[in-house]
Amino acid sequence: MAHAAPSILCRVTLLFLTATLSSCVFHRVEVSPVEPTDKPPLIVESPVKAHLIDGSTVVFPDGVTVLEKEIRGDGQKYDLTLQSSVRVSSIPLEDIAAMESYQTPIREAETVAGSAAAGSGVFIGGVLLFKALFGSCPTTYSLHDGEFVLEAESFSYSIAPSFETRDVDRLGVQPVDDEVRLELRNEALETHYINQLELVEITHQPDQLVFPDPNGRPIVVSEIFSPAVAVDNSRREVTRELSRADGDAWESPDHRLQTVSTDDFRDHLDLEFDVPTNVRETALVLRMRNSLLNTVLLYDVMLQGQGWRALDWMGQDLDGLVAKLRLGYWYRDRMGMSVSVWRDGAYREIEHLPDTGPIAWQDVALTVPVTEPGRLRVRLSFVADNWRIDRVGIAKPLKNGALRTVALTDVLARDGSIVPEASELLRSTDDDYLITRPGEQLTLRFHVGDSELGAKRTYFLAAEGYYIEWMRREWLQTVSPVPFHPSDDALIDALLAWADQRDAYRAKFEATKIPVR
Amino acid sequence: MTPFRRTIVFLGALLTSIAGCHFGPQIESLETARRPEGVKVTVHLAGGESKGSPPQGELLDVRRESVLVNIWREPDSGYASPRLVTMIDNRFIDHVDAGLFGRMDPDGRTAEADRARLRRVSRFPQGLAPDLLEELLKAQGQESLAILSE
Repeated sequence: MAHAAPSILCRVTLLFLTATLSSCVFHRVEVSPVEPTDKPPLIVESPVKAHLIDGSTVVFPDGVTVLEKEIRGDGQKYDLTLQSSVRVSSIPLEDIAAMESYQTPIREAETVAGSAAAGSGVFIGGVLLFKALFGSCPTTYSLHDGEFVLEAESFSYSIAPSFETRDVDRLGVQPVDDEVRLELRNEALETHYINQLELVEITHQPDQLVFPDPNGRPIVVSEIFSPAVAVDNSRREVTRELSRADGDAWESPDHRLQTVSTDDFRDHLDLEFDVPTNVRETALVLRMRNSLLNTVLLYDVMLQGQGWRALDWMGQDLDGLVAKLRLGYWYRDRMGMSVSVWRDGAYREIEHLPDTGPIAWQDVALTVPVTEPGRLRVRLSFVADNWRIDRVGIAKPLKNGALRTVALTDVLARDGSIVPEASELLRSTDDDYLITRPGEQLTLRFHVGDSELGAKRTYFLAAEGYYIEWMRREWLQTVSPVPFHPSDDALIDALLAWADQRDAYRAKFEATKIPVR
Repeated sequence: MTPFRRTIVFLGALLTSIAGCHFGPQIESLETARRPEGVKVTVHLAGGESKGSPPQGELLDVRRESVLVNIWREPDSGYASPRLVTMIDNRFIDHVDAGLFGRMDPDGRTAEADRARLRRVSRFPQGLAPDLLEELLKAQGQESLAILSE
């Protein structure tokens, strides 16, 4: 009993700290330029500084409304020397040389770290939900026989600082002279903020294959077996289409897209595999990438629909945990891919895969239970036409090979010179980011050394960061901007817009890549 | 502890946890967002260990080849004005430290992006035109622009 009081005190203190920590939020400050414009109205709710042509400065602590010929707000105007000031309620646009708004996006990694100790709720909300959200991303290439081959797209859907996440992609590249060399490109109208890049190396037997699981952990498997039967929701037999990794991918048929409604917007594939009768668990291997439906959802519905308002939405609204959770839960429920296994007379979900991005093919493996003797029935379901599925198969999961991470050795600029600051910025996850702009490229070198005799090595690229989409002129010219609210109506808007242009959209998407050479 | 006090303590703890805690700067408490001055910077000079305290002051303008800082002088330095508008050439800068707004190394890989970021939090992100510079110098009782060199 003598120890009872301190023990209770400790527990109460721990409980209190846990409750307190679970709501901790870490901030940093971002300053964004606000362009004076003749496309009203722009409402900026964060503090704004207007710098006037005559050298004076006007501070609007509660933000401003940008109208056709002036900005309005409760401001304080300081002269050039800052010696005197007067209150103002409006400033003509023609007097303004520049404006900035100040925002405090949440530093997600620290929020997660602080909150994860207190429980799983915020951790799930902060990381798993937001792994997948829209757009484009940094692309990575390797050189094969003088040709650059697309290897990966990283953190495809981290569209704001608070969505920063770590992404793991399987690479096909092999070392040359003890070195893995990759080219990192910014091919979109985006600014990329890259926090860390590293290789994960798995050493295994030459006849084995390695794929990342949904959490980026390696799964070593043997030979891949195709499905005995694959049928889509439209009753088409698509077994052959899904049996080879050849880029000839399955997609939802036109009529499925034309008939979507808020009550019925999903599609599915049913797969049946023969398995030895004594097998109770196997690995399901998928090779796939997203269609550009997500891009339409982000560009045409979320951003363009909001017009100028999108600046505040990305910079401020998504900063709020409630807004993030609302969007994140909605997005996770609707997008991605549900993997279900037939058990007890129904398909039961065993995994929900996040979206992976529309550019590079992504290989992923997951272990699935075999619930019927000699047979495995799997259903992949998703929003209609959200995926291009190149191959599905099963394989025997094997004991994992030796695994190690390989830090970046150095980074080369376009002219081949070493850029030591860049590799420093990319070696660890911290507050320092390598920032790239459209058209920029860097060469990444990883010294991996010799391999064991008779062994094979497979590499994953682990990348952490986020990107900011550049607002296009046409997005800002929306006549009646409306705030974006996650809803099935918005999804249907995106699906219908996508149905009208999907054949031409990829060609347009490829054609508008920013050249890096 | 009486049941009443226990209830008060419990409610206090509950309210604290609901209210949450914040780390790092928030706009509500960030002076730079609410004041007209440019951000406060410390300019670390190349080989600066041997040159005494690094100059500090208000960041006025960030140019491609230099930064313009309104350097604060010591209160008892004897000068008429407590500030000195000074141009510091990139060649003499190791890095510019702007606190929570980051730093800029003129020769760094991210110099261009860092320069753009610091320019936004300077007093004159639009650039300080010669006539305004002249006016500012006059207002501070400074005959000409100070230029810091080795």
